This record gives sequence, structure tokens and C-alpha cells, in this order.
Amino acid sequence: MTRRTHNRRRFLRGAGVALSLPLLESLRPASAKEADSKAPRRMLLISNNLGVLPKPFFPQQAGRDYEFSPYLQDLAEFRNDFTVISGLSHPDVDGGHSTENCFLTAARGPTKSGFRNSISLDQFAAEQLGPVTRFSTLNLGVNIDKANRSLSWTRDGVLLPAEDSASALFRKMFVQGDPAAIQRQLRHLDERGSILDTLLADTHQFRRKLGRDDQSRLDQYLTSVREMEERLQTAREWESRPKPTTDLPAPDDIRDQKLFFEKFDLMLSMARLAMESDSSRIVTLMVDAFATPVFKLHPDQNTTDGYHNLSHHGQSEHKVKQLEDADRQQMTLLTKLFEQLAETREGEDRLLDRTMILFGSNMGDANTHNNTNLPILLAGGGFQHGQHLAFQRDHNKPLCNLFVTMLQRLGIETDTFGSSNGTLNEITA
Amino acid sequence: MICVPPSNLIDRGASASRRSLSVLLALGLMGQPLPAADVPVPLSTLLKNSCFDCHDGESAEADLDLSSQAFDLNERRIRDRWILIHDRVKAGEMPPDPSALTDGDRQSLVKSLHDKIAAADRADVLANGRGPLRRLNRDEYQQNLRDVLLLPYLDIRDMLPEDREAHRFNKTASALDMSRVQLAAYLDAAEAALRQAMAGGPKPPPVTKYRATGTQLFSANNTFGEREAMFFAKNNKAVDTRDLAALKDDPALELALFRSAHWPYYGYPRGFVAKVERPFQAVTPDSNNTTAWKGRLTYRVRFSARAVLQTEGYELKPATLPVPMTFRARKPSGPDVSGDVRATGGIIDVHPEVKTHETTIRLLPAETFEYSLLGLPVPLARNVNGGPPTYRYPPFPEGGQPGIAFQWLEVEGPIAPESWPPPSHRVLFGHLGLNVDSTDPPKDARRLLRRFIQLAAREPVPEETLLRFEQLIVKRLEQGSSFSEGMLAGYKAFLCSSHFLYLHEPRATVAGRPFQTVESKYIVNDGLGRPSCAIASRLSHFLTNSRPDATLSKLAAGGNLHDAKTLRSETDRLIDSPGFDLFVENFTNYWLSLRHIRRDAPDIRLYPEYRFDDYLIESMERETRTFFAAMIRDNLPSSVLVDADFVYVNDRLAQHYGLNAAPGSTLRKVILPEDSPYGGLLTQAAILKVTANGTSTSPVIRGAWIMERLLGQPPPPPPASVPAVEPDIRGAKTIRELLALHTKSESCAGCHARFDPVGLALENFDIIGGWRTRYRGIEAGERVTGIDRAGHDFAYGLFDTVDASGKLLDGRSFQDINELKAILAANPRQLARNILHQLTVYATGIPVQFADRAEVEAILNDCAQDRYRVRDLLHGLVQSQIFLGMESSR
Repeated sequence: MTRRTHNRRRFLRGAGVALSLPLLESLRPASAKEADSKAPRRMLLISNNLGVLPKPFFPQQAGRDYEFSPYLQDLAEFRNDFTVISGLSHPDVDGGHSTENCFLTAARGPTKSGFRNSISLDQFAAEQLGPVTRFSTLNLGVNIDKANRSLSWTRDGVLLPAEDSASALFRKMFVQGDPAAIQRQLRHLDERGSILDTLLADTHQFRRKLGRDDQSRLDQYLTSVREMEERLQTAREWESRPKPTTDLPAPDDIRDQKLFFEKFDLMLSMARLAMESDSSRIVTLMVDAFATPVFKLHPDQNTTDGYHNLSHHGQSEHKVKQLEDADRQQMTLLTKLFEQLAETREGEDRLLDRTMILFGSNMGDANTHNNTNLPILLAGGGFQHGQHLAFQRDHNKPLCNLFVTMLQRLGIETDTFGSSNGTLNEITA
Repeated sequence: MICVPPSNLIDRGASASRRSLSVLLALGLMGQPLPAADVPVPLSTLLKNSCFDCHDGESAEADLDLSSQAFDLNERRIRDRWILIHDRVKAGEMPPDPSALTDGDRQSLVKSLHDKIAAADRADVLANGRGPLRRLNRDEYQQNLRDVLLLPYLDIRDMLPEDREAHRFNKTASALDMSRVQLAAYLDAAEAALRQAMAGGPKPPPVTKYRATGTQLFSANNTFGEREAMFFAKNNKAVDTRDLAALKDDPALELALFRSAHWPYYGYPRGFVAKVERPFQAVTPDSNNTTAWKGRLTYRVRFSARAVLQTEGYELKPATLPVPMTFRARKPSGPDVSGDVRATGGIIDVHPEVKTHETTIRLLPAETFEYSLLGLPVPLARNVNGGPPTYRYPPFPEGGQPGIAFQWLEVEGPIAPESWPPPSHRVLFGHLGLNVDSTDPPKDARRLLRRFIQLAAREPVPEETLLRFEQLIVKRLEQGSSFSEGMLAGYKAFLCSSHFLYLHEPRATVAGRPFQTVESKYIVNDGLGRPSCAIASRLSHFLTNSRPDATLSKLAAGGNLHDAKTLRSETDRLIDSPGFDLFVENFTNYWLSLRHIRRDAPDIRLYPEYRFDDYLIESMERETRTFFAAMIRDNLPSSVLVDADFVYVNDRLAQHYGLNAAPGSTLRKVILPEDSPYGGLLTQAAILKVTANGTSTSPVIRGAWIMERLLGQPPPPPPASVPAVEPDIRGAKTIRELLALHTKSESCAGCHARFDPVGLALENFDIIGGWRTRYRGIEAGERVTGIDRAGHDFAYGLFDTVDASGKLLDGRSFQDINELKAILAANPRQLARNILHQLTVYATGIPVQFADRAEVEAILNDCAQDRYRVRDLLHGLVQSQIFLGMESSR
């Protein structure tokens, strides 16, 4: 137990990590190479599915000269590294807790019959960026009900399960895979390669006998086969390439759901490591407060209720007090993350300036199951921070407008995502 | 003079000719300098005299400079431009001052242009076909795999990206692109399908039986909405929850439900989830993405229930009318709804007498199913002063609140195939048995591959190709794959090859050189040089969204489809087949946007009566599909697009339309009273819903939609710089005032006069097709208050009276919708022409070309005598050169 705690402490301290980054120039597609002359951009997307208490979170005034709210006071030293935004939500995404899977997708009507989720922000970004890192995205969770909840969804609305084991993540990122698994994977890639070879030859033969218009349609098919073959090559290379190394010990998983803050802290560290080692540039983290039972608020104090029950505080003073406490501890964890990312340099820049960190929730007010006026905080990424952007409380702007601005910051050429009807370029000016 | 950016004219996409049409409308065609050198002389003189005034030089109107406009009609883009010019002049829309061109000159200009364009268009079609290869869309791909693999419930559609649409359909060749993402998805989908076709073990998955009685019938002892929403009853009285433990297995205990399914609910039987014994895990390159079991499992559900009324004091008495219900598949994940929620098992009407009902439901592993009572209230949470949620059930209707009492429920499944290994396994491995033991792998591979390709291919495949796929299998076997894995690699490759993924045009013999897609000896020629297999595939994908069935394939292989009678009887056979439902669904999903029927929820501030009324929306959707199917099956005249003397309604729709109808959820044909505003697609609730936004109706949007979809006269796109007309839902300004403001300028008014009037006639219908005589507003007007069906207080205002009168562009005016219907129904030929245009894009993947126009008119002539009946039109299309491919130039 002592050794474990020691390991965890050492792991969580984290600073001064020695990572040897593999250079993978050959793996980058031509367009990405050009983009690399610019700085790599990253994004960490965090949602707590019960949100925070709105009153102590949102500042009273809008603009640059806003006064800190109680929660934001805890982030004071990073005032110019974050923007707090009020008056955002996803249009037609209501139905209380059911909205948790839509935080990054904005898919409308999650409780309606025939509902199907849509592609999430991270998956969309990964599609656009291509295989520039070993993992196009990492999808993490704290106390998460993996079968049913995720921030990450495919284009077809299929749930991508979150990883909640720090040791598994560590293995994925830093520990060379077991030969059998690598072999199995390589065999699958081989089979696909043979199939693509066959299709290429077959289609060439087929194409010769076609008329002009048909040929041009089939050229799309040929291009697709060739592009897939190229990517297969990339996948093979990643599979057989050594992983980055670190002198950190492998972390121990925390299984006790009561240790909510420790788990959250550990996952933030894993996200940071992914960014530092360039294992992935896009990470999501769902903090499943809903599934969190009675938890340890302080070493000598447990909460009186499970997180969900607490969130329905009905203005009861002792519940509100515990929630405030829990919220502020999460603010402290964010501060720690900002500190570490600010201390780490990548080239000339602080890693913080190359990493967008979105902290928010699908719940505007969990007490009343309200899904409007979501709490949204965006830090890092090199934006013009230091302000409270306040949109109308009774006529929210789509949260997806912010997503579009974030996508653009990643270097992705798009002006729409989900339910966006514009951008949030107030932070890019 | 008109505010359309010039770029609209340059846009020569497939739809450009229509979209730019009206742009040219407003432009003069007069001028002085000489036309471009290659315009033939009589034509050039006419253009010069009548058009160059406006369409000349750098400042030419709409960027159409006739003095430099090329006339190389063999170039498709240039031809499209001249088609546009032809159409505008022919319609008398150009020049804007009709007197600038005498009737004689107009006719000669039109004829001269027509002949030259038609000749060029026809030559192009003869040389290159009407259009290119078309990729199967994801619905068709799934249906093809279901039929090949004998897996009727295979569910891989959602592994493929949603297909783009063009000309309103997801079957248009130009929009069905291919990408690496698309191809990778096809490979994954094919893999998943093939894995599912293989027997997963020595025996079929065991069937489990589950029976719920007493408190097992519900996952909790109460649900949200208090006891008004649900309780357990004995002897027609609610049982106190504290007494339930003692009664939990009491067969006399009934579950009484009085609410519709919605979050939060807990409305599923206790302790049941769907399970598959041997789920497979396919490894894919992205380790994030393991392919789990893609199929739904089939379960048989039997239950005993009766319709009841709840009266004061939580007591039950028998209902007087049936209550409809269905089931919803979902995960049993507690107070939240996670993942998909799908209706399954069809609608069941539960009657006042205790009766046993039986249905088949389809669940994914780990799913359960909840009771979904249709049309009942959904009590919702209220947070008084931010306090903990409380629930409110709306006041009971007179006589009591309808609901259903359940006595017991049984589930049996998953239902296994009738034989083992399943038929799908035998498609892949013939008689090699469960373990796929091959004593002579190369020989078996050769035999099985040929057999599989013969089953899967829609036309004969040349030996050269067969060998290539065979080599793939041999190579995999040499590299150490097991026999079955090697075979799957070969099958997968074929199912993702261009042979399988693309449909091609049934092309004619051109100038003595046989057109080939594959070796000519494999083309089954029908005597006119039209490959028969391609016709069969086109027909089956048109009418059943899938590959030709055995009968059709056999006829195609024998070259029998050139016989008009055979083709006709096959068409009739497919229309009467179960696969036709897929046509009805897909066609209406796109043509009438029915797939968007749930897009905008009714704004409950203004329309509290529609809150959570899924049953109404579902009934509306079924009405329009049923009506469309009847248009073809019953061969109704084209005028039913705008008017008919009957509707298909069930209990809920009848109420919506203010009609008396038999109780129950089944749609029945009901003859309308003389003065009813309903009847015909135009005024169906589904159409009126997809043309509104949930909050307000706009005559502009509805008018434009109807003009395009039903009347086949699409308006031009709105200019970019003008803001849309937004109805004022506060109630301060009427829509007429707003429209008048919007169309103040003459140039705007000219265009709006084409479609606004039709929309104005529909103003008597609210956002979901209910009849209204006054508008509702949030702030203004006479207050209406009450408690809605979810127990919420509501208040809105009633203000101005609806004025549904208007005047069409041609000067005819109408007072209301019925007068407009009469005007529109008087031109059945245009309605029929539109139906033919829509069917042509859908069936062939290519919109009606210039060269097709004469053929379309010929079909219309043939159908004129019988009032352009829709099935006749469909037959006409199938028998036409458009559908069958151009005849050879003999």
C-alpha cells in the first residue's frame, strides 16, 4: 500500500518527465508536413456530466474587466490563459442526463424514439488531421460507465468506449506490445493489403473496358484503394515502431470509486503525458459524476450522498456546501494541469499555448436537469484569453460555434460542425 | 434588376439548368454585335436582334454574354447553358418584353435551338450512355448482402457513412462518391456481415424463456409521475407499495400504466436482457474499434393485457376504446436513456377485454424493451423554486384516464435459424460443415468461390476476374491462413469490388461496336443490344432497393426482359412483393423528406397540445407512406398529389383532422365530407410538418417546397443578401405585413409571386397540419390558458384571423385551400410530368436529360386518356428508352 501510494505520488508529481520522442517524419502525409512547419496543435476536452454549481462558477460581469467568481478565483494566476463563456448550449439537446453523450456531438433529441448520436468533435478532428500520431485520439474516463457513456462517437453514432485504466493507457503509450498481439494485428493488416492489391488489379482491368464517364467514376474508387494502401503502410509502421520511453514508473490503477479526485488527477496526468509524448494530440475525458457513489471529500470526510443525489440539492444548504467543495477541488486540479503544461516547453512555446483545454458539462444546472447555459471554460491554445464572454441566457448561442473555432485552431479548414451557426472568433482576435 | 449573384449562372452543376432558369427570366436577350463565330447563321441573327441589348460584352446581364458564348454543343457544360436559353425563350420568359420577339421568330429560334441541342444530346447519350456507373448506397448495400447471405435481419447499414443526396435523392450517380473512408467502411461492413453468416458454434445459440408476472412486470415499484402514471393493482384497486413484497408473485396482480414512454421512466420488465452466447470480436486496424456482433436478436413476446380507465382513487374500470402500444428497444441503464431507443414489434391495439397478444421484437445484445403506450401523457418534472423535482400528471379526461393493465408477459429467444449450420453458413461453405474441414483446399476454394460469386454477382463474371479472386485466396492460404479465413478474404474482396459496388447503365450497341462492361460473351443480349442483366438490376433496385430475385435473374439470363409483356408482368410482380415497401419508404423519405418528420419538435409555448405526441407524428408518417403506396398499387390519377376525396386515418389522425373514424391504430380509408380541406398529399399533416419549423409556418418556405416537390416547378434560389421572412411569433405583425415588406421591391415581388400564393393557401394549417382560423402568439392576443398533456400550465395568445386567399402568377385567384386545389388539379399533366421526373432520377440515378424530354412527353400522351394514373406512368417509364438504355442507331 505504501509503495503504491509512493508510486502514485511520484507519478502525479510528474514534472521533469524525460521522454524520448520518436521522430516520425516519414509517416506524415505531405499536407501534414507542411502543417508541421507550424506548431502542432492539441486539444483536451473534459466534461463532468453533472456540471458545476452555476452561481459560484459564472462571473457577474462580462468582458475583460470581470471580477472573479468564487470558483475562478482558484484559477487566478492563469487569468490571461483562459476564457469563461456563459450563454452557450446545444440547441434541442435536452432530456436531463441523456444529454451526456451529446456533449461533443450536439446530436438533437437524445430521448426521442429513433435517436442516433452523431460524430463527436474529437473524432471529426482526428479524421481531418490524419494519422499524425500513434493514436489519432485517446478517450479517457473517470468512474465511467463504459458501456453506456462516452464523449467520443463515430460518424455513425457508435459509442467509442472510454479507457479508465491508467495502467492500460500507460501500456498503450509507452510499453511495447506483446509480440502475439502485434503479430495478429499485422496479419490483419496484411490481409487487408492483399485484398487491396486484388481490388486494384481487378479494377484496372474492369476500367479499361468502360466509357469515359464510367472511367472517371471508377477513378475515385482507384484513388480510394491507393489511399487505403498508403495508410495501411502507416498503420504497419506504427505497429512495428518502438514507442516513446519514459523513466516514470507505470501507474497503479485506482479502483476505489470513492477516490474521485485522485482518479480525476491521475487521468489528467495521463492526458498530459499523451500530449507531452505526442502519442496523441486529441484527448477526451468524461468525468462520470453520475456514476460516482458517496465519495471522499477530504481524507477524513465522505460526502453524505452519492454525487447524483447531491446534485439534486434542492437548495439544501449542506448539500450545496459539499458540491461547492467538490467543484473547487476540481478547479484546483485544473490549476495544477495548467501549471504543468505552462512549465513544459515545446520549442519556443509553452505546451499550454499549443494545447486547448475545454472544461465543461452537458448540464447547465443539474439540480433542475437544465441543459442550457452550460458552464464552459476554455484554456490554453494560444487564444486571446482573459475575458468572460457572456451570451444571452434566454437565447443561447450554439456551443458548436466554439467547437468550430477550436477546429480552426487545430488547422482544420471547416466553418461548420454539428449545430453551429457561426464561430466564436471573439477569442481569436 | 434582380438580386441574384452572377455566380449562379456559372454554376452548371447537374441542377444548374433549373436553378438558373428564373435568373435568365429577368434578363433581356437583345443586342448589336455579332454572336460568337460558331453560332449558326439564322440563329445568330435572331439572337443578335433580340438579345444582345442586355446579353453582350463585359457588362452582360447575369454574366451571359451571347456575343462570346461558345456554341460547341458537344461540350456538356455549354449545352446545358443553351438548354437554359432554349427553355426561357420557349416559355416566353425571355426576352422580358414579349414584343421584342415576334411569335414566328420565337418559334423559329426555339425550333432551331431545340433540334441542334437534341441532336447533340442524343449523340452524347449514344456515345457515352445516359450517365455513369452508380455506386450502391448504404441501404442498397445492406439489402444486397441480406439477400446474398440469407440474413434477412443483417444490420450493417450504419457502419457505412450516410450517402450524399443530389436532385433530392440518395440514388443519384453524381453524388455517390467513393473515398478511402467509404471503402474502408465497406470492407468493415462486409467483414461483419460474413462473420455473422458463419455458424458461431456447434449448436444454435440456446433459446431462453423468460416469464414475468406480478411485480416482475416492471423494473421498479413506481415511476415518475406518481401513481397517476403507474401502479400495481389487484381487484381493480391500486396496491400500496408497502404491500407489494408480499404479493410479488400473485397472479392476480396487474401492472397498470397510464403514461407514454419518455425519460425518466424505468418502464421495462425486471431482470431481462437480450444475450447472444458467442459474440465475436473481429480485430480491426484501429484497436479502439472492435467490431462487435452487428445483428439484432429476434425474440417472441407474448403478453396478456386489457385496456382500462383509471378513475379517482387509483381504481380501474374497463375502457371503452382500445389503447395502442408498442415496445421500445433500449438499454436498461437506469434513469438515463443511453444509446439508441427504437420502436420494435409494431403497433398493437389492446382492447378492453383481457387478451393474449403476440409479437416479434428485435434487440441488440444487452438491450431490454420498455412498454411504450401511445398517445398518453408524459408527466414531467417540475422544480418548484429550484427544489427537488416533483411530478405532475395532467387532469383526467371525463370518464377516466385510459391506460393498459398487464397480467403477464413472456419472452422467448433468441429465435434460432430453422436449420444448423444456418443457411447463411452454407452460402459460404457449402457442405463443408460446421468446422469447414477441407480435404483439398485449392479445389474446394476454387469451387466455393465460383459458387459464391455466382450467387453474389448480378451479372456473369469473366473467368479472368474469377481467377484473380481465386489467387487471393490461394495466396492467403499459402501465407498460413486457415481455410475459412482464406475464403472470407476472397469473399470480402469480391463484396467490395467494383463488380459488386457499382450498377451500370443498360447500354445499347453503338455503331456496330458492342458496348462492353465485361467480356462480350458474358453479356446477355436481348436482341436490341441492351444487356439484360443491367435492366434487371435497375428494375429491382428501383422497386425493391435490392438485387434481382431468382425469378428476375433467370429471366434476365435468358434475355427475356426485352419482351414488353414480360417486363410489365415483372414490374407488377415487384410492386406486389414485400420488397416494394422499401421503395415506398426510401422514395418518400427523400422526395417528401419524410426522414425529417421528427426534425423540429412542436414549440410547446405555442402548441402545448402537441407536447410529446409521438403517436401523432408516427401516424402522420404512416399516412403519407400508405397514401403513396396506394397511388401506385391502386393506380390513382396524378391529381391526388393535390386533391383527393379520401384520407387514410387512424383514431389519432382522425381526431387531428376533425373526422369521425373507427377506433384503433390501423389506418383506414375514410371518405371526406364535401367541404374538408384535407385529401391529397398537399394537405397531409406530414407534408405540412416537414415544411414548417415547429414554431411557425412561412408561406414562402411552404410555397417553394410545394412548387418544387409536388408541382415540379422549383423556384430559383433566394438571393444571398436578403434576410429571410421570419414570422413574428410574439404576434405583433401578421405574416402578410411581413411579406409585403419583404416583397416591396418589384424584383423580389416578381419571383415571390411564383410560390408565395401556394404557401398562403396553406396558412390555415398549423405547424403540424392542424386546422386553424387564427394565429397564435406568445405575447399578444386573446389569452388561452390551461394544463397540457404533460401536466404543464400553458398560456398563449390568439390574434389575427388567417387569410388564405391569393392570386397565382397567371392571374387566377382563390379564396382558400379548396379553391387552390381545384386550380392545381386542373393541370394533371404537369403533376404527372413531375412524377415522371422524380421517378426517373430515382430509378436511373440521372435526372431527365434534354434527349429524354420527347420520351417523357410520349409517356404522358399515352397516359392522358386515363387521367395520368401513377402506376401507368411508372410502367411507361420502365418501358421507355430512358430506363432501358438508348436504342442502337440502326
